[in-house]
Amino acid sequence: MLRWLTMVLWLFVIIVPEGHASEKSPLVGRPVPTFKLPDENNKLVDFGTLIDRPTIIYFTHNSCHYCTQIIALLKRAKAKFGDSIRVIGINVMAEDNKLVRAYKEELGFIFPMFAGNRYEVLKTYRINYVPVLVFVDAKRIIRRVVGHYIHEPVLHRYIREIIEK
Amino acid sequence: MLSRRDFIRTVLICGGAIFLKSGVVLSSGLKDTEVKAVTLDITYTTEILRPPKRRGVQIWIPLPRTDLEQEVSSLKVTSPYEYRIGEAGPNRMLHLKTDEVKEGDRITMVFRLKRVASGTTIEPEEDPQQHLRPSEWERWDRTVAEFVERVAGKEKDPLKVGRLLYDAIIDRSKYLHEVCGRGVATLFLEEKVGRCDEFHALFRSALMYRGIPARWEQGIAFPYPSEIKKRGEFEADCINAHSWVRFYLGDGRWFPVDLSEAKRRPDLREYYFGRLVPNRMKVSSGRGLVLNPPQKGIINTFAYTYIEAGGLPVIYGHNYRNTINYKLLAMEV
Repeated sequence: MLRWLTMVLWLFVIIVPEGHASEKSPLVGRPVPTFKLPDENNKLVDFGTLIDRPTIIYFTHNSCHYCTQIIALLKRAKAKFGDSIRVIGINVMAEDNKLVRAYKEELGFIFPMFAGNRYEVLKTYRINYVPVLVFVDAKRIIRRVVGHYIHEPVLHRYIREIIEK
Repeated sequence: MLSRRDFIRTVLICGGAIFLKSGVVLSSGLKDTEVKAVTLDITYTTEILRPPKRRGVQIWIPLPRTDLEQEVSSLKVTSPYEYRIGEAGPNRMLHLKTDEVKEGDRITMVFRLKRVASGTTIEPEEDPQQHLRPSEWERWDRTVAEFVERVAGKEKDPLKVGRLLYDAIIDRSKYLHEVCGRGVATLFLEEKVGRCDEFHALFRSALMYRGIPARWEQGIAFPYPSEIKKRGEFEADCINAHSWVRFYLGDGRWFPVDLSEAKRRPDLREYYFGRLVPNRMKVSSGRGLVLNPPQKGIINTFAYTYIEAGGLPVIYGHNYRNTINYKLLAMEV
């Protein structure tokens, strides 16, 4: 009996994920880094100019279907929280506007999106996988970095955090 | 300082490893390390969920081939579009081109796979030099060079260098499953979190920096022999894609390692330095591939179906989905 109990406990601790290390990212607590990136019209835009309120910066690419599921959550969050939040998408597969435009058209991605396949962007934000959501408060300070799928209640809790900061 | 959770985890891993001695034995009583071969009937399906808005659809599907570790037979393809089978370097693929894509269209490949538990392979015809060229995601920088020098010191023996790097990377890194990795060696060195592509990008980068050829092998992971059912279904996507590496020992000998599975399964850490459990299917080799005919977009790894419309990659999970259905035929112990 003790043998089985130990084994179950052992497997539980190994298998059940804890908060991911990205939530303890060194970016947390720091001012949000910003870059000039091509938008869907190939216009170079400093996406920092859009961060005028609590913002979620969402890193994604075309091969990630968790990412497409998160877009639905982001749309619903925008409908719920309205103008108190902003969402910015960065496609880490896109080198120019063409893929950004196609992505937005295919998915009905209603938020601004930029081509983010730039080494300095990926290195600064430490993007080695997607999805990654960066939560930025109204003072432009990064409060959380979530590097995995997020459930809707958790997304809403984190949004409330950046709104209330 | 260790967190309470890390402390409990460490105590339980150590205790569990001692307790179980050699390998996790599940209810079937089967040890993953004792399975010599697995034979499966596989149905691989790519289904169009939503036709892309752009015309000029091209589809590339990796076709597993017979090699020293697996036997692929009885291949049958059904498709609503014309297709051809092409090769690009060591890789084989199905290519389809059409403007008439409809929701629900399915391309299906049915074949039998016999995968053996693999160790060092002897491949005298394989040119090691080609496996010294890093992909754009495996280029090393000063930090990778310093890491290798710190870990491997003056060691020259490829096997010993490999073991030192294997242990160092596993020890310093965390495994994360439900993400789609980009497999960038320098970022993984810094971030220390990732899945198979991150572990193996850094391992390969470090070996190549030392002048040791290392081959990227790409496949799909099946359930472990101790967990596999008679029949099963899962998606062939970035979550179930799996990579591993073989590095060159000299005299035509290629030595397999799987660092990320060694991280996930501490009981198999010794095993995965030099051997592979047959719960996988190899579908391609290399990174940053040019397909046949050449695609427009950049392919990081070629583990499952890749589709372009109007020369741009379409969206997995939105425009299309891949499914693998398997039937377990035999398991040799």
